[in-house]
Amino acid sequence: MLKGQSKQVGERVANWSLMVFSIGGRQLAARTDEVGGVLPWTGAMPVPSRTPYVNALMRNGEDVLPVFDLGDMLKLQVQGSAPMCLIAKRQDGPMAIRIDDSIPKLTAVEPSMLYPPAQPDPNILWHCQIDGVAVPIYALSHLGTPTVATS
Amino acid sequence: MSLRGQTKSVAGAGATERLLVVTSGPNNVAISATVVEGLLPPEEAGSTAFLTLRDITYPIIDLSRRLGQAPTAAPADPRIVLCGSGGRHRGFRVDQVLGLTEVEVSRLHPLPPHFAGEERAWWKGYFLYQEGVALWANPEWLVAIDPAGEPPGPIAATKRFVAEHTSQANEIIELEVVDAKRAK
Repeated sequence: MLKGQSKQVGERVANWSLMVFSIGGRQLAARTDEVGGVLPWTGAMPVPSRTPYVNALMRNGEDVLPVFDLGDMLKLQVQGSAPMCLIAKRQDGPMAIRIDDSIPKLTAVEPSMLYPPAQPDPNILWHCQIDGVAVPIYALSHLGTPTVATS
Repeated sequence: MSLRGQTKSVAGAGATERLLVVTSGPNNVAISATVVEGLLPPEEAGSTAFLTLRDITYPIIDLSRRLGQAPTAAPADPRIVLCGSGGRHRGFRVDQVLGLTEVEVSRLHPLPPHFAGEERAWWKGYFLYQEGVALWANPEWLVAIDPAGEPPGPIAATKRFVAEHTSQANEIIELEVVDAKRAK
């Protein structure tokens, strides 16, 4: 019934659809609509650069993506022998982020479960509790952009 | 002694750029053939900081240093690439010369906008090369005086060169420029 369908859609929009991944064993999350995909990490070529955390190019077939070193920004080491590549849909174009080799998980969180970070961080939209763990939700669409003060 | 590589149109293809691709540490670096003035085995320069060839003095440094990286400990097949642009000359020790390649301009891409710092003046862009990517160095930056390195030496000579004036089609303007040469 149309009335029921509208209600379901309304609930779905209200919930936050998240992808939960990890770097250095720490759980992090991002909105699924800001994630372009997850691939095996195939290596990257460093690019001498002065832009904070943007210092490599990754080739994936005929495509080349800039690499954002989120691990370096968080001072965490990517774990695992077969790391993964998360494609972040930043507002100025997609970029690759190297993450741990554990497969990212999809989850949905009700808005009532979101709360602001204790320390203001423009890279973080909200925090939420997932399986009893506080997980920051990163704003991939403008991660590390000049308007965002990186630590 | 230039490689005479020019951006040109090949019959049946678009405009191309001829590039010398070298390795320096983890990087494939492409240098426009128009600025390459010579290739030497490193023993011809020894460990000196300067090399004079055909009345041109080239300060010699590791390309890795120009890129802000540590030099490779023992490169397998090192070479010195002599470059000149805009009246400046430099020689670079590289780990290996991979070869001269002609790349269609349409396959040369600017750095993604995520690179927002001064590196945009260092790299004209990149292109797919073999299984990876090669960075196309901006020749003006490549041969510029390294602010972290030695200061420019005394002005020793002048040199004339011809440059195309880009604002008016087919007009050739002859410029006289000062060629900064360092005393040995």
